[in-house]
Amino acid sequence: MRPLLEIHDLRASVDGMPILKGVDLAVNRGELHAIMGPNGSGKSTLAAILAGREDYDIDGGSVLYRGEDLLEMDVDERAREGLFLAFQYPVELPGVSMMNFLKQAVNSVREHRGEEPLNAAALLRMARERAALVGLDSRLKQRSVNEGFSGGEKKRNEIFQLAMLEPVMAILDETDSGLDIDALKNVAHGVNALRTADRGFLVITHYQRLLNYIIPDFVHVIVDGRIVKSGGKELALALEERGYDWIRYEKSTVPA
Amino acid sequence: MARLAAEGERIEDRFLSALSRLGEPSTNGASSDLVALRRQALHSFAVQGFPRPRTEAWKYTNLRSVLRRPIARDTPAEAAPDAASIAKLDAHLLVVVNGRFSAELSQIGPLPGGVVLGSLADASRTHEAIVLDHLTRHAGVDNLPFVALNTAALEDGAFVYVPPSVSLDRAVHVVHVATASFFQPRTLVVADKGARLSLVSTSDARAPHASFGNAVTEVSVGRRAQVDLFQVQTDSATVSTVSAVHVRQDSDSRFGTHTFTFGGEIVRNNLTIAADAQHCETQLNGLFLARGKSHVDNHTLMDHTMPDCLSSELYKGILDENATGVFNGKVHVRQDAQRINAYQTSKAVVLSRKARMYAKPELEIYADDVKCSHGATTGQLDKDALFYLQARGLRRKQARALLLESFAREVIDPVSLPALRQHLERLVASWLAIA
Repeated sequence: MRPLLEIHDLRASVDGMPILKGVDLAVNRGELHAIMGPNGSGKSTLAAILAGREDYDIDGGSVLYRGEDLLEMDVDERAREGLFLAFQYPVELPGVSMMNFLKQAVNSVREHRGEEPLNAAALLRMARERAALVGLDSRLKQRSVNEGFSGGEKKRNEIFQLAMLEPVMAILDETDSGLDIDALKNVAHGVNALRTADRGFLVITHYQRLLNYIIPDFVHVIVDGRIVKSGGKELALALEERGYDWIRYEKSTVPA
Repeated sequence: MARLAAEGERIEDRFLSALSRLGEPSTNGASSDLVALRRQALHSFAVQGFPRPRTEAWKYTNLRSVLRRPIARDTPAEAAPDAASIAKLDAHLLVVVNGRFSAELSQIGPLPGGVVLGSLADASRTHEAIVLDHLTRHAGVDNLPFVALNTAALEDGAFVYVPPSVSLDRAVHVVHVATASFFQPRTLVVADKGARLSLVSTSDARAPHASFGNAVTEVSVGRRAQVDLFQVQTDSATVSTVSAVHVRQDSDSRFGTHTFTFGGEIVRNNLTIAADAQHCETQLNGLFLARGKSHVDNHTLMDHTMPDCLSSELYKGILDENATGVFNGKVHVRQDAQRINAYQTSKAVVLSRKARMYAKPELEIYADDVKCSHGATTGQLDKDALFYLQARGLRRKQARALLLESFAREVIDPVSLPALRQHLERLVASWLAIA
């Protein structure tokens, strides 16, 4: 079976400045890959390009998602096809109620899968159940999307949406940043509960801390726009101990 | 039958001759006071003339092209007011056709003792004292040429009177139907001491030809009275209107105005509220959605003459295609008006390159112990918000509609009549569905 997500020699730039300089990565169903790297290495750019942000120029390479050219798909098409990005900075939507937002998002995806739209009662039941999974205060569902949410609540809300939309491929962009230890555990608990045999995960993080709670199958280190080292979960621990500089020195000799 | 303007003829003269062609307003049964008011207004209009392009208050709204158009001699057949009806709104219905009250089309249910709903012409005979106490008292004709023009031809219109301490539980819905090329609706609303009233005013002129309406509404809000005025404008793109609402509030009164504009060619709403006594509360809300070549101008004046009052104003607009929006909101706090809280916000979303928004908030404060604020923002839809919604599977159009609906909701939510609120939500949704 071919991988869920195949990235080949992906190169991208902003205003002529190269950010990604040839990224190769394959994620199979049921696998959780962590991407680690220092600030400015291109981690979040990779997530943004996969989700469909248009602020970047694609200079070369390809991304296949379920065998199709992902880069040709519109943002909303990617989402309906089961690709999900948990935002590093979730956007506040004043006046957009959580339930209306969830209804439109969930039913867009369901319709695309040929499923019946959920009615208000079914949606509410599902929302209550899945909110509990990440410890999201159910009163937040009465509010506008992310408006006035604390940093931790916003991140929990992202994983809550992941649980509601049941994606095929989930990308978490620095979901751990700005979280206290309790919120981190909640988020990790939610992610672990959502790991299934046919869902792929790409977890982007700066710190190893998150990977104590979400155990990855593979760890990749991205430095200066390239994946310079790949390994198992023990690689994350080595990074924690030795920092990124160790990899920087090695990078010319270690093709991933 | 239409008459084209002769070369060099002043457009004011054409209106004056149109008025005389329509006949001197009937003096039959009208009090000599009313006749005198009309004469005075006619004279005032002739002297003032229409606003010049340089007139500051009309800087962004030029009506010359509308006023220069021929005024048809005939009035087409009356139209039924179906389009302006609001599903499930439980209200006394007052229908005004081309400025005249229609008893046949109106549906007025049983009323509490002393309440008067109906024709202004009738009321000027049966309730002469009330009418003369208020008519033209709130909307003066000096420096207001359109009010003068309306008053000069004043003959009939809608009249609403709620006596002291009476709460009118059912709303009053004034439906304005227009088929003429020139029409001048007039409404007089008097809420006496401690009275309560919700008034809905809808205009849905669908003239196939170009037409111009010049409306005046006067509202007197008595001591401890509470009045809400909801205006819904859904005129077609052939109809231009100048609509003046003049309100006077007595002490401890509450007045809310909610103006919703979904259509029209050139729409100018003049809203003037005088909080003329202590402890008044005033809410001024407005929402305008404009596309095509539509031009919507909301010109508001909140005049605080006395201390210890509160006013809060929120106007929001969505502009697409070649539409133009104008918000000119002035808050005037006079010297004696201490301890005033006055807040004003205007926000507009501009969806196309060619759409324009002019926002001009003005605070004029002569008292020293006041809390006032104003803010005006104009911008495009938030790109990050659109991306976030699309990243959750919403199509671009759906994401846009959701954001714009939410933007509009802030003005619709305070509408206290559920049926009207739903009607407005439907109007917003169908407006957005066209985009």
